[in-house]
Amino acid sequence: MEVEPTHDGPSDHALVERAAAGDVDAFGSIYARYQRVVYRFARAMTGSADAAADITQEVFTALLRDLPRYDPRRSALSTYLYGMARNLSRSRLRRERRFQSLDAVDGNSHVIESLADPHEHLAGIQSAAQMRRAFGSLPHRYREVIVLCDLHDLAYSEAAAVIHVSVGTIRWRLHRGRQLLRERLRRVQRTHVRHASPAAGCAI
Amino acid sequence: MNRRNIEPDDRGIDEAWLAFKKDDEMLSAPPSVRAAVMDVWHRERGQRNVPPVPGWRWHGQLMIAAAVSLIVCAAVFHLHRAPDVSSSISSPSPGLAAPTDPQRTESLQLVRVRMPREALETFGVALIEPQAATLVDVELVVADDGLTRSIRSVTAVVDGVPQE
Repeated sequence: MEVEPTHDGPSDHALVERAAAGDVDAFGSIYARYQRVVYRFARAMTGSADAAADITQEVFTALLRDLPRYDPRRSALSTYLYGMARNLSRSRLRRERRFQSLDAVDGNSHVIESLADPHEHLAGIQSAAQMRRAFGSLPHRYREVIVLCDLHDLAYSEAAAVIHVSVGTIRWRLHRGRQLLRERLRRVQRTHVRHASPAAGCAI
Repeated sequence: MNRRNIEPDDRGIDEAWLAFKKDDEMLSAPPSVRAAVMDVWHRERGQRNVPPVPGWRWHGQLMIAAAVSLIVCAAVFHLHRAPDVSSSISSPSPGLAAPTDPQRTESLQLVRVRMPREALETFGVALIEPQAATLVDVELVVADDGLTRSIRSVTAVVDGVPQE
C-alpha cells in the first residue's frame, strides 16, 4: 500500500506532471505540501535541526532532478519522499555518529512565548527535551517506525511501504520500540533528577 | 506513542510524549531551504530550457568559442605581463602577495608557531578530540592587520619532535 495523503487542490500526480514540464509553481506547490513532512521526519531521525534542513534541501533537489524519470505508478510521491529522507538520514547518522548534535547539547535556552503559566510551559519543554533525548538513543530501525506510525500517524501498511518490510515487522518493531522508549525515558528522567542543578539564587 | 498504548502508571511518559509530539508538529523547514531548492530549480531549468542545437552546428559553435577564448586569453596575458609584477609584493620572501584585485594587493606573511592543539579552535579548526593535550607546529598566513588569513599546515609535536 502506498502513502497517499489527501490534499486540497490538484493531485500529486498532476503536480508532478506539470513540474516535469517545467512549471515552477507546480514544483513550489509540491514543496509547500511536503516540506514539513520531510523536515519533521529528518529532524526526528537525526535529532538535529541543521541536519534536517540539509536533508530537506537534498530531498527536494533530488526530486527536481528526478522529475523526468519519476513514475507515479511505481510509488506515491509521499512514499518516494519519505524513502529518500530515510536514506539520507541513515547515511547522515552513519557519517556523524562520532559527533553529538548541538541541538541535543543546548537544551536549556528557550524563549517563553506566554507568561500565563511559565512553570507549566517550562515543564512541557523539559518533558519534550527528555523524550527527544530518549528517542535519540533508540536504534534506528525502531526510531523510524515510531516516527512514521506514532508521530506522523501513518497506517502500518503505509509505514511498511516506506521501509520495505512486512506489516508484521512494522508491528513488532513498533511494539519493541515503544518498550525501549519507555525504558530509555525512565533512565533519562532518573539521570535528570540526579543531575538537577540547585535553584538559582534570587536577589531583590 | 498513542494514548491507548500507554499504561495507567505511565502518566509521566504520556505527558512527555504529548509534549514531544506537540513540539514536533510545530516544526517546519526554514525559509532558506526553500530559497536554496528554488535556486537549484531556476539554475537547472534555465540551462535545460536552452533549445537543442543540431550536432554539426554545435561542434562549429564550440570551435568558434574555443578560438575566441584563446585569442582573448592571449591578449590578456600579453597586456598583464608587465615587468613590475614584483613591485606588488610589499615584503621579501617569505612574504606573499595575493593580488585578487589588480588595484589592491595584500601583503601576507608566513608565520610558524608551536602552540597547544586546543588553541586551533580559535582559528575555527574543528577538533575531534579537543581535550587531547598535545602541541602542534602550525604554519599560518598572517596579513598586515595581524589577522590569520589561512592555515597552511599542522604538524603534531610529540616530546618536542614534530611528527611528519
